[in-house]
Amino acid sequence: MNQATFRAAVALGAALLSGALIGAAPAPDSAHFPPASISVLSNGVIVAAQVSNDSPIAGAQVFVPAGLMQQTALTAGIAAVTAATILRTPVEGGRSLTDTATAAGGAVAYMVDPEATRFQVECQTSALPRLLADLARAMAAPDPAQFAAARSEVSAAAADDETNPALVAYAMVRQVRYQGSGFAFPQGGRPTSLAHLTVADMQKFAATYQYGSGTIVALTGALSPQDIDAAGKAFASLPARSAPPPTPVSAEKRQHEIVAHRNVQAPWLAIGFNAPSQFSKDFPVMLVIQALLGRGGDVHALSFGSGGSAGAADYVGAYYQYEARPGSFLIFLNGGSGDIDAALRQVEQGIVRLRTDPLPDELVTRARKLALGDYYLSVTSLSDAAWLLGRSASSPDGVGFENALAARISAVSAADIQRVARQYLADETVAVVLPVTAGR
Amino acid sequence: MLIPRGIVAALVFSGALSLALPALAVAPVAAPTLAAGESILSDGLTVAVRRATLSPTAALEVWIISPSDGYGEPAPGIARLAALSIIATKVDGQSLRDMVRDDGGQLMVSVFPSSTEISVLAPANAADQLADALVARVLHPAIDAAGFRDGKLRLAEQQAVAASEPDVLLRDGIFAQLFSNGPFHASTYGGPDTLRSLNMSDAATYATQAYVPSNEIVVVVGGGLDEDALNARIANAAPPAALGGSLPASSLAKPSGTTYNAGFADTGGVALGWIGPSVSDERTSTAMDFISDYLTRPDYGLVAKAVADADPQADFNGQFITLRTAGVFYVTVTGGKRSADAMAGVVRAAMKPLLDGPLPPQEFSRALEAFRVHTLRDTQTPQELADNYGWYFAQGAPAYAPSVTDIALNGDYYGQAAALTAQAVYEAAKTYLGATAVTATVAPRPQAPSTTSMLPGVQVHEGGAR
Repeated sequence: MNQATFRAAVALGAALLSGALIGAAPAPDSAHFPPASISVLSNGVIVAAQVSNDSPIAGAQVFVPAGLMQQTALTAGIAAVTAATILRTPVEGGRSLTDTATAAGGAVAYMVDPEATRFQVECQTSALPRLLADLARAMAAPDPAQFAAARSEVSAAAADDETNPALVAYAMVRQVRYQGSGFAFPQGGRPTSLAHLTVADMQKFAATYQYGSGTIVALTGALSPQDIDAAGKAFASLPARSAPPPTPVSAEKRQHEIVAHRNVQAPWLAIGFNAPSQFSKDFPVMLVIQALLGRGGDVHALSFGSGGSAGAADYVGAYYQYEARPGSFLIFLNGGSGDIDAALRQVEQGIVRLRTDPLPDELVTRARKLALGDYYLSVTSLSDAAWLLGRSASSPDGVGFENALAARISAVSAADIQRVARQYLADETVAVVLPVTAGR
Repeated sequence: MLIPRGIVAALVFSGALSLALPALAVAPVAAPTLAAGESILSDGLTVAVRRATLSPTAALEVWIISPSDGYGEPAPGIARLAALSIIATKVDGQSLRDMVRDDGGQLMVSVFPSSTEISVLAPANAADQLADALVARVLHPAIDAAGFRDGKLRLAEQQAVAASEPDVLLRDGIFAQLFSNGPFHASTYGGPDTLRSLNMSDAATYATQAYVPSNEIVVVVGGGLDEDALNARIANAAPPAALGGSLPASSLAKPSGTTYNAGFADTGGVALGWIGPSVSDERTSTAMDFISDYLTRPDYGLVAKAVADADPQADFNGQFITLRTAGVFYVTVTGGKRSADAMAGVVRAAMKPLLDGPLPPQEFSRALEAFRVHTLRDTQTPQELADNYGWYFAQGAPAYAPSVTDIALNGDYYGQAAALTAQAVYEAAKTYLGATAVTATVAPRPQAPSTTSMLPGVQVHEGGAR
């Protein structure tokens, strides 16, 4: 899940978020994603395409097999700095990749995921092969002269993140639960690690993009077979070798409460749990749990079985990070309107009820519908569709994942929910962000 | 042009204007040319159903041409209160809000000075039942006491949020100066008086006048739709013809040259605004859209980039709003560290290349292509496409909607875009942006901001403002 999506999710206060997900046989009342094709180049690059001829534009998401997990404590932030350098690298007539795309009315951007970096391109279809070739060239040889500006850009974004209590709380949970991996550090690294990064670090990280097997090119929009072929050719020169898997991370079992002080108006709190990752059989069940816990602002989300009392009054929403292995599930509380300790107790009591109390059928039915709705509604743009297609292409189901996930969500039972809740919703980490003047 | 979502879009307007300036004389009213795929039922209801293939979702929308401040004595906020009450009123034990939520959809209400939009973003598997629900509840509106109470509560919340948003206050300020009366002069949110004085009967009476088939369009755009079946369902549910209220006029004011103080917000800011052409002048309206793209598009436009260079902390917004009788071009700069005067100077300086003469041929050609691509990218999702149909229906120019096109870019809008010249763009810029601008400012509120301001990119859904 990219940071921008995370921001939106937290801002919505919600489980609305969702994103890409997995599949089996079609559910009777399900919608359908457009058919998709998939091919594998001789060097191992996967090219997936989904044609939609609504408009003469197209989108691409290029997944390369190096993300936050591949960073070390000394190089935290290098994934973002490397990607930012690539976007600034001159590609056509001295113009950067970003400026080249922008001048044509298109756009290029990057997202750093736990195990991948994604480059996103959107433009007129006729320009797509050219811009993807530009991207491949910039990936192969990022311009060292752009390193300092890229680092400044990442540093500024990281400083902004430090002012957002939800992102601070999320980073604190990651620091505990992913200890020992590159995912334990904030998205943009830390000021000290960023300051010590060098051009050589950037070039070394960029070299970890150079694997045919592990690279996925996902294309959506108005595409002819020739367009798809040309887009794939841009990455045909990647070496035919497989990216090494990231270092496994053990699921954190110890409970923690960690506290930080920031210049915020009110206390914020994140409760982090382990969660199944996106290709786990328990993934659709966790999506239903996420829906069950309520969309943002639904203060009664956790109140079932409580005799009618309200759920946590300060409940902001839930965020499910399923691209990391293991995944994590976070619940956010904003203490702006009351006693955050009481709100935490309410959430914990609600989680206990979820694990132990009988779940009414209508509650489960409604949660399934919400989860299915959130899934479908997460895919409305070319960019969304390319992202889901790329994730699907890397799944054990292949591109069939898109429709199969819907069927799996529809088949989730009350027993599934309680089994998964018991397995994962325990041993939480609590991160508290307090105003600088407050104690706890 | 394009309709941005989010709270900053809450004051984007449509409507009938009576114009005092001779150069902006109102075109005679004629029956609008329908867009491909649109039809008008015998009761006057317009229907547009379009299949899109990208997403397994459907946008279901009803747009109602109606004044946000009522039909008689101005009652700012009445349209919003009525819409919020209608979606909260329970029929057979369920409100529209309940039904949408239970089927995994999202419900949104948007109120503009001369139109209201009630829309559902539905998973495609629930599109049929949610289309039925939307049509039943909005084309046959009902308001009960509990729904009205809920509507008032949500309106109060929206008023509180809007009052802290500098963009909303600035846009209010710009329109309050450009128009001397009518729905374009007033805030769509109303104020404390709205909550105090308006009762359930007022809201119900308003709905009776506004929610009539001849004022309405039902738009459905999405994946996996059976277009014929949906058209039939909508036709079967359509109400009989009824006489609705007439949209009150708004008069253009003469810019005074003084800066309007729009009050206090979470951050300070400044806005500049100009009157533009009527939508009936499609050539010049398209030129103004090009100008808007060239100047204000984030990370691309000359003014957007100049503001970012001058003050990286500042937020910039700007656009040309296509309207039935006279469009509005405006920009806002908020939240930065530099003064309002300094940022207004930055904006004016960055606009100069378009006012000095026609763009060089090569640059114009590149920018025109970029403009087309931007417009296509901005109308790609079912919701963006449906909004576009609704907006241009509300302006009386349904066939001119940019979304009314195909893979070959057929249609009025892209035809006009293809015919643009550097000279035509220059003429439009000189005529409209060379005129006297109105200016508005807001000052940062002395007390601490609300906690919602800590959430970047907040998007308020149903019950929230747009």
